[in-house]
Amino acid sequence: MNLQKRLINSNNTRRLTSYLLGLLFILMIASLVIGDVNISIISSLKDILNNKSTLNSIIFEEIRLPRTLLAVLIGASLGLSGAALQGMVRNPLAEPGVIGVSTSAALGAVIVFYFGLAAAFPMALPLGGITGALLAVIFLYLLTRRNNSMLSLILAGVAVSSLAAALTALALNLSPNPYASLEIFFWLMGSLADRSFSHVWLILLPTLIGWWLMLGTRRDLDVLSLGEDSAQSLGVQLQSLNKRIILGVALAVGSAVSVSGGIGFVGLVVPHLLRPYVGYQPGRLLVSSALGGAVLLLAADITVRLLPTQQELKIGVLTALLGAPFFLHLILKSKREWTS
Amino acid sequence: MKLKRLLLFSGFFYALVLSANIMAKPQRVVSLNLCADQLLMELLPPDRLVGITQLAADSGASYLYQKAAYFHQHSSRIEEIMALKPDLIIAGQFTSQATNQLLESLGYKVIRLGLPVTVKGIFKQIKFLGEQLDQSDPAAELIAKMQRELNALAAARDRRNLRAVVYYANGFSAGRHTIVNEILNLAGFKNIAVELNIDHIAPLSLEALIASNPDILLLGRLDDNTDSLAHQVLRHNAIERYTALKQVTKIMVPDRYWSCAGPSSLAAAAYLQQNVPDSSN
Repeated sequence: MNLQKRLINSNNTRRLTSYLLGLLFILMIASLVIGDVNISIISSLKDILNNKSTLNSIIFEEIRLPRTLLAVLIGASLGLSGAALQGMVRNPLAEPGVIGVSTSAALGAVIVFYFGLAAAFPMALPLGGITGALLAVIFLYLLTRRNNSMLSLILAGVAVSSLAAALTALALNLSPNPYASLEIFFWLMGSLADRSFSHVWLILLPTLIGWWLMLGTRRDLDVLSLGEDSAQSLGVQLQSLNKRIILGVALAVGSAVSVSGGIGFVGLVVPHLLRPYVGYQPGRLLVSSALGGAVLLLAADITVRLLPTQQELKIGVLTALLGAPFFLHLILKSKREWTS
Repeated sequence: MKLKRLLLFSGFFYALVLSANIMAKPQRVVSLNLCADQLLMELLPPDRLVGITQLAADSGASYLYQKAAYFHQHSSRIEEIMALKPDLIIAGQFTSQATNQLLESLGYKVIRLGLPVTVKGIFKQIKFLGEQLDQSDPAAELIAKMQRELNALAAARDRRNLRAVVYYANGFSAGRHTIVNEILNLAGFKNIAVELNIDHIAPLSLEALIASNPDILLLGRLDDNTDSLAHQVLRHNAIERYTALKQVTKIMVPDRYWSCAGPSSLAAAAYLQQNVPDSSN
């Protein structure tokens, strides 16, 4: 790639980033304004600044604000993790939901949540999710080490997903709480309804560490796209790159799933849509995918709030409706690889 | 000889009368439904009510959970129910439909009880059950006892017209056409869910709950030893801050008071009256 092209690309990337940031800002405002009851945002902001508690300020501060922040944090984690995983295994189908990382995280969170551990020690909830996610990522990494084909990745993902989902259902049925078994839907589909600031604080630190670990691999990921041997000759430490991404994905996705349930396909759709705009460079894709993921999840969350369903639709239903056809499209597009 | 024949004849006649009487009077009643359990335990002795549900002994769900210890509890599996040799089965109108139908097709008599949503409906149901079980006297006694309780509730009714709202696990509330609405009115409260045009049991968003500015917040069972997402919403920061801000009375009502319509409904209203502080503004 010559210098001129490279400059155009980096300009494009910068423009893309500012577009996404602008869009994210607008959606955040919308998310704070849209809700079940009409409240004046300006007067509630005034109340908050004057440290005055009113009905409006409670609805704004305790219901809408944490929900918006969670959508941004979790969406960014999912988009970023998808892009990082795809860069690491050089396979466009790697995504936390598809390869079973989200479901495994849900399993870890469910075990911690329903059997009283999280009640005794709140941090146990994200830690449970992170442990579940970590086990799944390590397993899939070892698998792709030996045989990096699309087929084995997807099939292993199916196996990990169904196993984790079955164990989640088992754990919920064994739980002493009578409502637990009905909540499998939340853990497999995900929702941001009625979450609170305590959830934001719970996942903030592990999420930020996860982001930092993944974003630190930007340069190395770009080089890795040239192939492992070239990357190694250019001084990329593959071991440490892989470790960072595995740990980063586990931290970000594990903590996200532990408060929102498994929301699928965000990490698949977003990097795929943005890839052309960043010159197909996996490193540059990371930041854009994080922003894109936040935008997508926030938009999806606003949509489920607006849909006239009696009970709010689970947000994962919407992302799956959007993402599953995409997934199919990606598979069909790379049909040639199946036959090889 | 004559005497012997007479004795035999009268004995035969007596047995005939007795068996006719037994035929009219169900001797082995089995209940398939928690709410039927509650009424039947009031109306029948343990030797005639030969099976109730296991839920009936659950202190969370069943009002007469202590009394349930005197009755045999079945697992609700059809084979076990048949082994109890029932001559009358009382089921819920909306519960265990498959079992009810199968039992009917096997020739058992199944009565389905609806869910009354008013005290009038409860009285009607008790009277009907009394007739079906040939226990009209205990039924009339039960109704008279409930009538006395109703009078006591009316006498103790809160005159402040407090606005109350019920918030269950998963963010559901109870509006018009529910026994919970009747209970709130009996206790002397206005049900906010009715103001918000909620019919039956329907979801109420947390935002709408806070915005409705209730005086009294009735929360479903949440002091369980284990967690669930369904109950987490009842502990949401928004609710905590709202109740602190407005000095709202928060009452946890155990499910056993209002999982069924019946004598427990009046106890629920009394429980509410007892738990409201006398001089909130």
